[in-house]
Amino acid sequence: MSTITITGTVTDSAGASGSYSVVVTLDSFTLSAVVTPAVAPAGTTRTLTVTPTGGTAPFTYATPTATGLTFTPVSANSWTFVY
Amino acid sequence: MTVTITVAAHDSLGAAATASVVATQAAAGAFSDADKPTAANRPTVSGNTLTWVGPLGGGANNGSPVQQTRVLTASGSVDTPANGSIVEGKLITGSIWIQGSNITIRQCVIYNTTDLITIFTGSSNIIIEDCLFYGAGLGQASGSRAMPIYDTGNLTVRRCHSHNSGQHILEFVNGGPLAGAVHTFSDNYFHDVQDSSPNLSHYDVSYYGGGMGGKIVYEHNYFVENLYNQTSTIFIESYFGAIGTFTIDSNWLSGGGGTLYIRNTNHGNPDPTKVFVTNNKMGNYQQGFVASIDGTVTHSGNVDINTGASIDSQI
Repeated sequence: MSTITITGTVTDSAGASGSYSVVVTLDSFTLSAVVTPAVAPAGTTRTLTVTPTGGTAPFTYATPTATGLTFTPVSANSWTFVY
Repeated sequence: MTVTITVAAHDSLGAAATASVVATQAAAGAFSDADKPTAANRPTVSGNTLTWVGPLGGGANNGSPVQQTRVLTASGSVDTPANGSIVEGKLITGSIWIQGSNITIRQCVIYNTTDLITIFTGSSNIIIEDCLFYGAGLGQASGSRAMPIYDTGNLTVRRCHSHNSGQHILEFVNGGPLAGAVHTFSDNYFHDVQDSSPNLSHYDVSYYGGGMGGKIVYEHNYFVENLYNQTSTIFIESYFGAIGTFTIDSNWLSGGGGTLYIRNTNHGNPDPTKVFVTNNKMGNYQQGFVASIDGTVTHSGNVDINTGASIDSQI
């Protein structure tokens, strides 16, 4: 996640002044994916696991997409498929 | 051939991300080092806890293997388990002696300073899976074996780990598999052949002297013989009888004077004609990939374990 700090100064009618500062956080995360085994003979049952870094839990995962493959959920972030 | 997989996710505040990954189909006959049997995925023991990677509940390699642990129960030797029995979850200080049929040894550790698992004459339909059996290395009785296998029926040994367990890890005695029987060894990690007499004439991960005419299959194992520089990783000879069908496919093999040693011992038995060596990754440890080969060996797709270069011209 990245942040930005906003600061400013306020002056009243008598000339007194004060300052303020506030931090704004931009919510974001990255996603990594691993297939095990990555290289194997055709017809092998493999496992796809995705892992988020950063962000704010809980995460919601869409079903993976790939031409011609069907994914069977193992857990919220893991699926098996045959390829 | 490859396929790209894309997956998307969002977090509780609505931020989104995607990831892509590629899966590859290996060429026909090829296999990946990613799942090579090693101490990282074959059975190991810490205290009384066994750790291994395999399918839930044991059995064949169907579905995705997962890392598992099991607390074992201490035991002495297991002598002649009953026909149809399953021996599992034991931390055995001693040996296992099998003479029966339809017997499974599963998720056990066997430690002894002499022969570890002996499968005696007439046994059949024996399964040994997800087991660690090991010896004391230089403290091991001279000439002992991890698994002496007599003239027997069908046998399956899969996803096991053995080391420092004698002169041979596998020794086929009295001719090994009976005619019509198959002995299949898959996904095993066998290494460090060692006993108390390092000057014996042979140290082999596997020794088969011919005999009963059955079939032996080695597939997707990692066999390493690198302690005494002799004799071979897999030694096949016709000392006791004709060499039956012997299939060696998709293994990692390394060590010994020559990684493969296939010979007619000139005891009146014919040259081998039914040995198949295919798609293996082989090391050139001391004298080469092959110590010697008699007869006709069918081979293809074999490569140097280090460089990936074809070595079929040397077999």
